[in-house]
Amino acid sequence: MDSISEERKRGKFRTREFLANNFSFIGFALVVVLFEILTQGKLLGARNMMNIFNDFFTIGLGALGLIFVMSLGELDLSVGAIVGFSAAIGSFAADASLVLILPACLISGLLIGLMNGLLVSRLHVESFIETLAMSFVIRGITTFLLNGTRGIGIAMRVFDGDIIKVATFAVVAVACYILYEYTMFGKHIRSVGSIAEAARQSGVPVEKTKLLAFMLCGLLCGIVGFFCLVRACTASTKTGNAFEFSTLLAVVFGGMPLTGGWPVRFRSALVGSVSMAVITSGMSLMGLSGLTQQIVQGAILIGVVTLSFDRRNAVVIK
Amino acid sequence: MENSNILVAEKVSKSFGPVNALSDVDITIGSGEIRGLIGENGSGKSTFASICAGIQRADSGTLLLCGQEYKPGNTIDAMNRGVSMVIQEQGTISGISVAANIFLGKEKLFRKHGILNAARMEQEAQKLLDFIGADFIKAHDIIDTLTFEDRKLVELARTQYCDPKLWIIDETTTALTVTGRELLYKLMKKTRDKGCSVLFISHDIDEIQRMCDSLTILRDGVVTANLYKEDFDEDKIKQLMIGREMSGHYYREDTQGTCSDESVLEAREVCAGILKNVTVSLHKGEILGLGGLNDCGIHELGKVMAGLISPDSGKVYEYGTKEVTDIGWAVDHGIGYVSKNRNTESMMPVGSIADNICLPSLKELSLHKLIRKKTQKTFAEKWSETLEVKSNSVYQFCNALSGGNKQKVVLAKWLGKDSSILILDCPTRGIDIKTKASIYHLIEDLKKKGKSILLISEELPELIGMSDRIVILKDGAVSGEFQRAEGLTEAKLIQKMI
Repeated sequence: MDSISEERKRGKFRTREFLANNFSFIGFALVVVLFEILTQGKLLGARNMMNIFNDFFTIGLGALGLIFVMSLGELDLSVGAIVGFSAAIGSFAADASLVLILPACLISGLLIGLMNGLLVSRLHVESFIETLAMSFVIRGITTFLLNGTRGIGIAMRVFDGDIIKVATFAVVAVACYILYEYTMFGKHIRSVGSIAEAARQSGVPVEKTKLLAFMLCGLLCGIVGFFCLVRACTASTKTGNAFEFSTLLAVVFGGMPLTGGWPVRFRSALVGSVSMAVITSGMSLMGLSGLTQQIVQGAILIGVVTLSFDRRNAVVIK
Repeated sequence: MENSNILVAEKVSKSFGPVNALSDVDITIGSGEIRGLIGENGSGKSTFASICAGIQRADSGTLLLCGQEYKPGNTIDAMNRGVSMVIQEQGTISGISVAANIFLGKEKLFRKHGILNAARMEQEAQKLLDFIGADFIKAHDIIDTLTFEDRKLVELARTQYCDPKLWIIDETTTALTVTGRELLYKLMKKTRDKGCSVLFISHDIDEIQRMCDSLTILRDGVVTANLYKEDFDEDKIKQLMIGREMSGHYYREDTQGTCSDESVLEAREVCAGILKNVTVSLHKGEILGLGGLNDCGIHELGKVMAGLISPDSGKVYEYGTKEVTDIGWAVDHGIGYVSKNRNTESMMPVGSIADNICLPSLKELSLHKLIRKKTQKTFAEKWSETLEVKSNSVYQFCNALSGGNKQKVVLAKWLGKDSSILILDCPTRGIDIKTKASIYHLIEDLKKKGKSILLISEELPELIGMSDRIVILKDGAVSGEFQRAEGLTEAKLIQKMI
C-alpha cells in the first residue's frame, strides 16, 4: 500500500519535472497545432513558411542578444529603440556610401549597448529602469533625426534575400551558442546572474562581464536594424516598434527564467522565437488587427510568466 | 501522567520529493523540560521543528499539544496555541522599527478605528525587550541600526509575546553574542520553571549537555536515542549522531607550531572601516588563526587580505612584494577566499556542483579559449570525489545539498584551483561534526602540502586546536599573539579579546 502511494508520488514528481524541462517544446507544439486549426491549414503551407522565417529572423536575432543580458538577471528594454536608431543612422550613412550602411548600423548598436552596460555595471542603475529610460532617449533622438521617414536606394534590397538571411542567422546563432555554452564569458555571465557576489569572490570580473553582455546585445540589435532597413528600404520612426516586447515574449515563452543564472537554457531563445513567429504569422493569417494582436501577445506573456515562474529558485535571498 | 506532557508526536513523517526527511518520528516532551534535539545536517531537526511551529505540514502522523489534537495550519495558528519558534535564518524585516518587527502580523492588537496606535505598540515592545533582558535595544529604533546579533534578540522577544507553552529554538546560539547567549539561557530556564517546555536545537554538544534536561538524537530522519541528563556523554552522543565510532583524532595532534619564515601574505598597517593599523603576516605552510569577538574586525581583515575590500590606508602584499589590488588579481595569484556567508557569497546555490567547482578554474580548463563539457565534468568529479561530496551527480544543483556538503563544494573549488593561500572565514559554521572533522583533516593535509591557511573563527577550541599561531583582534587592532603550545587555554585568549 505504502509502496504504491510512494511510487505514485515519485511518478507525479517526475511528470512535473518533465513538464518543467520541456516547457518550451510543449508550448511550441501547442501553438503550432492551435494556429494550424484556426487558419485551416494555411499556417504550415509552403507559401507561409517564408513569412514565418522572416518574423523568426528578426525576433530570433534580438532574442539571441537578450538571452545574454537576461542570463545576468538583467533586462534590456531598449532593444527596439536600438533597432530603430541603428536603421536611422544606416540611412544617413547611405548618403555617403552604400558600403557604410552595415558598419554604421553595427557601430551605433554597439555604442548604445556600451552606454547601457556602463550605466548598469559602473553606476549600478537598475537595468530595467536604465534601459527603459534609454529607449525613450534614443527614440527621441531617432524621431528628431529622421523627421518622418528616410529612404535609401532600392538597390540595397538585394540584402533582403533568403540565402543571405539564412546564412547570417546560422552564423550568428552558432557563434552565440559557442560563446554561451563553451567559453569563459558564457559561464561568467551565468555565474553573475546566479549570485554576483559569489561570482566576484571566485574571481569573475563582474562589471566587465555585464558591460560585454550589454554590448553584445546592442550589436545584435544593430544587425536587426540593418536588415529592417534593407527590407523596407526606408528608416522610419516606427522601425523596431514594440520589438523589445516581441523578443522578451519570445525568450520567456522559450522557458527563460526571469531570474537568470544557471537554469537558463540557450535553446529558449531559439524555440521561443519560432513559437513567437508562428503566433505572429498565424494571427496575421487570421486577419487580426495589430491592436488585437497586441492584446493576445500581452495575455500570452502574463500567462507564460505565471506558469513558468519557478518559485523554488526565486526564494533564494539575494 | 498523560496531561503533564506538553507535546506528543507520534509517527510523524515528511518527505521532499524522493527524499525522506522524517520517518515515523516519536517525540514526547514533558512539561518543565528543556529538550535538546541534535543530529547531523540533513538529519531532520529543522524539519521537525518547523512542523511543530506550523511552517510546514507533516505528510502523516499525529501531534498532541497538552493532550489535544494539534495540527497548525500556519505560524499564527501555532502561536495562538502557544507554540513559537526562533528560526535559524535571519527573520527580521529591514526598514521598519524594532517594535513593528516584534508585532509583525499582529498589528491588529493595537488598532483602533482602523488607525495603528504606534506609541502603545512601542511600549508593549519595550516591555517585552525588558522582559527578556535586552533593555539596551530600544523599541522605536529602526531595525537596520542594530547589529545582526541584536536583531536575533528582537526575534527572541517576538516569540515570547504569545507566552509560549512550547518554545522552539532552532540553531540560534551561533548567531548570538556572548551576552545574547546568556540572555537566551536565562530565558530558557525561566520558561522551564514556569512549567512550560523548550525544544532546543544546536550543533554544540557542550551547550546541549549544559542546558538540556533530556536529549533526542536524530539520524537521517529517524530517532536513534532519547537520553536523560544523567546519561549524557559526549562520545556516546557523537556516536549516536553519526552511527559509528568517532576516531579520537579531531583537531591536530601535534602540540608544536611549525612553519617556514617566508611570508606569503601580509597586511601592512591596514586601516579599513573598523580596522586600525593592523599588521599581520601569514607564513608559508602555516595555519594562522585569527580570533576575536564578533565585531572586532576579523571578518573585515579577511576580506581586505583577499582583495575584496580595498583599505583606506596601508597595503596587502603577496610574497612581500606583489601588491594585492583586487579579488580578481588575488584569485589569479593563488589566493582563495571562503566567505562565512555560504549561500550568498561563497557559492551559487542555484547552480550545479560542477558549475561551482569549475568557476575559478575556467581559464585552466579551456583549450583554445573553449571549454569542453567533458573536461569540466571530469574536473568537477575528481574534486567532488576527493572531498567526498554526497550527491547523485555533479550536475545536481547545490541548493539541494546540506550545509556540510555545500561547504565541501566550496573547498573543492579552491583545491581544484590549486590555490596556495586559503583564507577561510568560519569554515565550520553551522556544520555537523562529521563534516567538521573532515574539514579539519583537510586543513591539516593542506598545511603538510606547504599551503598557507588563514583561519578566521569565533570558536576558540577550533583556533586552539588547529592553529600554529593565533592573532587576536580587539576593536579593530591586534591585541595579542599566541604560539601553538600545550598549555594554551581559552581563558588566555579571552583575556585579550575583552
